Amino acid sequence: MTVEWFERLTDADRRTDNAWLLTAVLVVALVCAGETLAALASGTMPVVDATCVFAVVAATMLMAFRPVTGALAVTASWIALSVAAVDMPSAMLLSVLTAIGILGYAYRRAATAIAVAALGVWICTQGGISWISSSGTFDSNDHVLLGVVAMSGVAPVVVLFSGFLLGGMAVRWNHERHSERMELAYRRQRARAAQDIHDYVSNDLAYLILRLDKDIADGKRPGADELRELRDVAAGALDRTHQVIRVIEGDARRSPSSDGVWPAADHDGQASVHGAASDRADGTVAMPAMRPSFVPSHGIDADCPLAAQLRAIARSGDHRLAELGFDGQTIVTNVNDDAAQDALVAGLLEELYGNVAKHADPAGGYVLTIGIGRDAVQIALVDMASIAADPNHVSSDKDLPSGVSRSLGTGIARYRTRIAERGGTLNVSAPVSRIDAPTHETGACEWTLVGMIPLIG
Amino acid sequence: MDGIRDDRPDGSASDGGGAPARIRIGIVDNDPYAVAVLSTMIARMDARFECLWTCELGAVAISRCLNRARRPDVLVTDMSMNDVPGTEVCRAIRVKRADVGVVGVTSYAVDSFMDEATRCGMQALVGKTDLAGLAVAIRRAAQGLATNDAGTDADPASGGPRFLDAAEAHTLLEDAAYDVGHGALSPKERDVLRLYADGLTTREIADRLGVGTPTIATFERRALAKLGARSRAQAISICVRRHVF
Repeated sequence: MTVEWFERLTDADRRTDNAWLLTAVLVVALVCAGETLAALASGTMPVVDATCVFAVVAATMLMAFRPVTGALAVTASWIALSVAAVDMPSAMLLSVLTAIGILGYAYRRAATAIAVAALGVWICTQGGISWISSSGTFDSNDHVLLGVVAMSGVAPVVVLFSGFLLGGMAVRWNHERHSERMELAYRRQRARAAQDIHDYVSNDLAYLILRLDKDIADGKRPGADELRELRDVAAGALDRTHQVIRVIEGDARRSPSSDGVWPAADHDGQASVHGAASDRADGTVAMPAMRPSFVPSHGIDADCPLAAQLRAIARSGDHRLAELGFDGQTIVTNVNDDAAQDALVAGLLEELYGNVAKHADPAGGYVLTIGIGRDAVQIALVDMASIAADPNHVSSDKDLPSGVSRSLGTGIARYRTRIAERGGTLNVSAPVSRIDAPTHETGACEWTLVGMIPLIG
Repeated sequence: MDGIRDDRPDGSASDGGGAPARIRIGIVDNDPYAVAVLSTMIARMDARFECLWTCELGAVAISRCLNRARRPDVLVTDMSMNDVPGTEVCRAIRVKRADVGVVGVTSYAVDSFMDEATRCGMQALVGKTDLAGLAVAIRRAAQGLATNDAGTDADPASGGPRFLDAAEAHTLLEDAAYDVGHGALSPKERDVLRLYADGLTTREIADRLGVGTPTIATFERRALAKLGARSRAQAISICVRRHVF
C-alpha cells in the first residue's frame, strides 16, 4: 500500500516537473530564506521559529525537484506551523500558494480539499480573526506581504488561494488538450506514413520481385534495358522511402501523396502486354493525386458525417432499384474520421442511381462502390447496359469503343464538369481487361464509371 | 448449396469429384502493372490455371463474379484498392455465392489484414511475392477449400482466426445478411436453437446442417445476442414462449 502510494507520488512528480516551476520555486525559497534571515538579524523572530521556517524553506526547495511531494510537505508543515503559532515570514504565503497550484495541477479534488483545510487553519490561527459574538461578524487584521503589499482581511488571501488552485487546474487542462492534439497529429502522421509506404514503396518492391521472378522462371538473363528499368523501379522505391521518412520526421510538405507525380520508373515493356495503360513514356508516372488507400486503419469506429450521409442515400437508392428488379449493391467504405457532408458527392450518388434505373439492364445487376479516403472520394459503378433494350444509349462518346459505353446523359455530364472544377475526374469507360467485349449470352455489356472527387477542406 | 454449382456455362470446374480440369481465374488489383505481371506469373504456375480476366476495380470484379457468364473459379484480389478494399469485394461475393474461391494478395504485411480477411469469407491470404503460396491457395480455393498456413508465421493450431471453406463462409455470411437490424432470428439461428432443444449435440447439429462446429457456435452466439439471452437454455425458453419454433 505504502509502496503503491510512493509510486503514484513519484509518477505525479515526474509528470509535474517543469523548468519554469523549478525557477519559480527556487526564487520563492530564496525570498523566504532572505526574509527569515532579515527578521532573525533584526531580532524580531525567535531562533526556534526561524529553525522551523527553514525546515519549510527546505520543503519548498524540494518542490523544485519533486513538485508534488514537496507541495504536500510544504502544505502540511505550513498547517502545522500555523497551528503551533510559529512566527512565519510573509513570503511563506507565496510558498504555500505555489504548493496549492502544483497540487491543483496534479490532483484536482485532493488539492481543493487541501486548499480548503490550509485556508481554514490559517484563517482561524494566523488570520487574526476574532469572533465578536455580539455583532456576529468577523473582524480581521491587515497583512503585509514582503513589506510592500498590504492585504486587508482574509478575502485577498482566499482569492489568492482560489486563484492558484484554479490556475494549477487550468494549466493541467491546457496541457491535456495540447497532448491530445499532439497525439492525434502523431497518429495521423503515422497513418499517412503507413499508407504511403504501402501505396508506393511496398507496391514497387513487390512489382520488382515479381519481375525478377518472371525472369528467373523464364531462365532469361535480363538485358541492359530491362536492368535499367528495374533499377529505376528500385530507385523510385528508395526515393519514396526517403520521402516517407521525411513525413515521419514531421516534414509533411513533400508528402508523397500530396505531390501526385513521382519520379519513376518506366514500367512498360513486358509488363504492359495485357494492355495496361502506358502513360510512363516520359519517365514520370501520373498517379491519382489523392488516393483513398485502404491500409488497415485503426481507431475509426464511427462513421464520419459524409459516410453517414452517403450510406443513407445508398440505402434508399438500393431499395428503389431493388423495387425495379435490380439485384445490386452499394458498398461504402470509410477511412476518414472527419469528412464533412458533401453536396456534390451526395448529388452524384443520387444521379447514379437514377442513371442505373434508366439505362441499365435489371437482369445484369449493378455494383456501386464508394471509398471515402483521407483526401478524396473514389466512386466506381459497374452495371450491364443492355444494348438491345436501349439502342439510344449506345456510345456517342468518340473516345470509347463502340457498343461498350452508353451516353453520359446530361445529368452525369454536368457532374463531370463540376467535379473537374474541383480537381477531380469522372470517366465512363470500357474496363481494361482481357475480355472486354460484350457478353453476348446476356445481350448486355459491362458499363463502368469511375470517379475521383477531392474532399474540400 | 447444391444448386449453386450447376449453373456454370461449361461446367469447367469440378463439383467435388477430384481436381478440376482447368481453373479459371479472375484478378483484380488497382495497379495495372502489378495486374499484368501477376496474371503472367499465375498463368505459368500451373498448366490448369487460366487467367479469365483482369481488372483494376473492385466493383468490376464483384460484378463479374456475380455474372453467370464471366464467373471465375477463383478470384485473386488485392487487399487495398482505390475504390473498395479486397475484404469488401470478397464479402460482397461471398454473401451471394459459394462457388467462387477468393484468395487475397497484398504487398503489405499479411498479418495486418488477417482478422478481417478471415471474417469476410476469403479462403486464403498470401503475400504478393509468395508465388508458391499463391499457387497452393488458388488450387485449394478452386475446390472451395481454405488454406490456413500460407504466408503467415501463425501456427494454424494456435486458435487464431482461421479461413473457412467457401461453402461454410457463404452459409455464415448469407445468414448474417438476413433481416439485418430487425433482431429477428435468421433461419439458421432458429434451426440451431431448435435442434439443441431437440436434444442434439453441437457435433450432430453441425453434421445435420453440413457445416463445422465453430459455425454452429457462431449461429448460437448470434441468436443469444439477438434474444438478449445469457445461456442456451434461456434462449430456448424465450423461443418457446414466443412460439418461434
